[in-house]
Amino acid sequence: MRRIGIDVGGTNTDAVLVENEHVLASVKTPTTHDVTGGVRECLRLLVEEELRGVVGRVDGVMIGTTHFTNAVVQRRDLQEVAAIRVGLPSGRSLPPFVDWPKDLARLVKGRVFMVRGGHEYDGRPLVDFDAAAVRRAAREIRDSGIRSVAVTAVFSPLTPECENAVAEIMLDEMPDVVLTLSHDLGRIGLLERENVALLNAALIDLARRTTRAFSEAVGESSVEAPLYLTQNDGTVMRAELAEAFPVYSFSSGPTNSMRGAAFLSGLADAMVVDVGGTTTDIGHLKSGFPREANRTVEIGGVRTLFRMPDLLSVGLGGGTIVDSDAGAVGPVSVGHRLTSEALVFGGAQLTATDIAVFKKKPGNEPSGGLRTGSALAGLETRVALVNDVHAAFAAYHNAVFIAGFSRFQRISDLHGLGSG
Amino acid sequence: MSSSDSHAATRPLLLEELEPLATGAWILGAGGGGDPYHAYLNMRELYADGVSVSLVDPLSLADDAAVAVVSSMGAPLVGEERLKDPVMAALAVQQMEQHLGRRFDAVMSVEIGGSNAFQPLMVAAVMGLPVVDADTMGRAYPEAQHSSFAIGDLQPYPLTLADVRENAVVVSRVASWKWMERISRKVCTEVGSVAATCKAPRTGAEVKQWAILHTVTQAIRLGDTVHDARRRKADAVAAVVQHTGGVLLFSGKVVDVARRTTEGFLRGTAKVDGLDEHRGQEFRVDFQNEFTVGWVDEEVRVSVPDIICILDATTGEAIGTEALRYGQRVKVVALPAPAIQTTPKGLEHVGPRAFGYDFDFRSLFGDGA
Repeated sequence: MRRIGIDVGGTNTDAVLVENEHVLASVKTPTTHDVTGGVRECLRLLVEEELRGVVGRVDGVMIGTTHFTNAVVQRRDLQEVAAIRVGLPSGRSLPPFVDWPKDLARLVKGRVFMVRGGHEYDGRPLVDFDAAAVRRAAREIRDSGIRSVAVTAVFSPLTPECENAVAEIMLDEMPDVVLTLSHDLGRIGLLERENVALLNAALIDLARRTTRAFSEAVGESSVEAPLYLTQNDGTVMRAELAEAFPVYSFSSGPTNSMRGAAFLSGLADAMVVDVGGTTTDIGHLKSGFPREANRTVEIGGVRTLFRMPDLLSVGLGGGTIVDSDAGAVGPVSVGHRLTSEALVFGGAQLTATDIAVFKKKPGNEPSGGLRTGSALAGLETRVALVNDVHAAFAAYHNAVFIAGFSRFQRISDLHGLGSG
Repeated sequence: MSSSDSHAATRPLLLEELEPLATGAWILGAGGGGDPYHAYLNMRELYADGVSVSLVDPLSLADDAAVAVVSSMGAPLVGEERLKDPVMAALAVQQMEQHLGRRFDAVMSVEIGGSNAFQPLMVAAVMGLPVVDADTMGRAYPEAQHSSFAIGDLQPYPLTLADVRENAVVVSRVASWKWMERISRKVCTEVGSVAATCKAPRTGAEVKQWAILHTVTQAIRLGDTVHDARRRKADAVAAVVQHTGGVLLFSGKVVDVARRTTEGFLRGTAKVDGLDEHRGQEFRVDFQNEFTVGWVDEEVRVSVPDIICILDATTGEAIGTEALRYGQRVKVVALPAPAIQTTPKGLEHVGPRAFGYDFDFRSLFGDGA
């Protein structure tokens, strides 16, 4: 069994070729603005440089990406969405998008329709399903130019009938519509399930573009293997499924590193601290998989309720900007521009990486592809400044990790792992 | 806010008071009453539309004032799908007005604990009535016979029950409060286990004599206390204890939760392993929607009617019986019961024996507190 795993982070794109339990090769490139450039470059390096073109049979390419969650958090690449909720006369006073942050609602909220229908918890219809109202809504949506529609019905996780009926009518009126049905995504909790469906619908075009570009990148390389995307729960799904359900990949970045930590350490139960370029994520491995949060999880300020790893994410990573004048650390990061903007790479921006390198003493030769000569000389002139910032940085750093560990300590205690 | 403000006859309830009310009411829910999130959201939306409601001091009510007593009845889980709606809340009250052939002057909640703290606010917003700063439980309890009006042997009927499909039922006469509970519970189940109710109407005189007074204000202040402690990064649970004159009973982590749904109630037991000064000890608590009795190492430490709350050790946020789970780090606090509930007649209704336990109530706060 040979697999290629690619992790597309905000800063770096990493790839490994794994044969059974062994890592045969690993490469790292900066994440490109178009996201897939890094993937293409990783595959090229892996195949041409590391393996000299002899990649042999590969059973699968797995990609994990924070692209979709970043789109929501950073309010970009989202599309306008129509919402159809089936449940009147219930729920009239709390319509779709009711508790969304205003800036996000402005980007995503298109036409909103509430129609009669839905079910009781015991499977009885709440009221008769209003098919005529759905058909009117379908025509309005078609004429409005909105292409992505989220459908939510009362008690649909138990009785999906009404959502399926809406899908049938929508497709009849508008064959090219893209539908997200809430019962495919969530459990009991109407507003939270609807929110997940709306977010999914808002990401559909981005998901298509991204997964297809990933597929093309793989296709252009000499690797012939099916493409998978990693999911929030630590498992993988076929790229075609990821196109329809981008929300399943919301947390795939940190989940990747947690699964990777389990693989590399051989430990099934552990705490994992993933220091990335933009954030540091702390999570808990239980039987080799991320422990799930058992409550509402806010994504970009939207309340959701679905299977997500329980993570403590703090805005402190290698690219985190250190403002020496204000004595402030983060949360903004130079991200994938680390290798051009950080001081140690000859840039003008003081970052967490500069602090870490400087901590190893300026005389010491830092490892890797750092341009050490003039850049580091420039750094030396900032000794006093960096020392001051370092104290503040260390205090912040400690507070972050104490908060993280104390949160997970109780869980480790219970599993007899001892405490950190 | 000074105490003279809170006893002004009528004052507007401010938008900024809604969130503290949700936090405070959820704590007073004693594990039950349902998360006030949807009800709070409704009120926030109404205020955003320019609607507001006023709070009236019960002591300023005329003796012959007509007061509607309202609640939302049903299973919290159903409420997660069939969301709270102010129009539906008002429907039961309008039905009662029609039945009685007269208008109400004010509206109050049957229970301040949980989402029902907001039920009269939603009715008030739709009908333009003031909300009485009072309730009948000072917390949440599962059944009709636990209200202070039942303790006062006031007439339990009539009751109206409305659901969102405009089904409405009038229970015009019952033999007792327990019969009212049984009959209305059956109707509620038939309409999908969520319904708006308007209980037996009360006069101003009855409210002044038998209601538990100023509990809306108390819940807001309790919520303010928690929010203030969070802002100051102070110990929110300690702030709750200090503010209410309560007792910190136990600190630890939840290690076991057993639940079963019987006769329309969520019953069960939770166990908490001690930490800090309680290391080596175990706290066990029973619940029937709300927490009823707590034991430390098999010895009864606290029971109804004292208010048992399990709070998130860090945020002071209440944890409902349906949301308790393995691994949560919690603090258990007890708040003093309203005085009427610790009288011999009160204990018949809400003491440990009323919940099927074979022991007498011993207050943590001294007799006749």
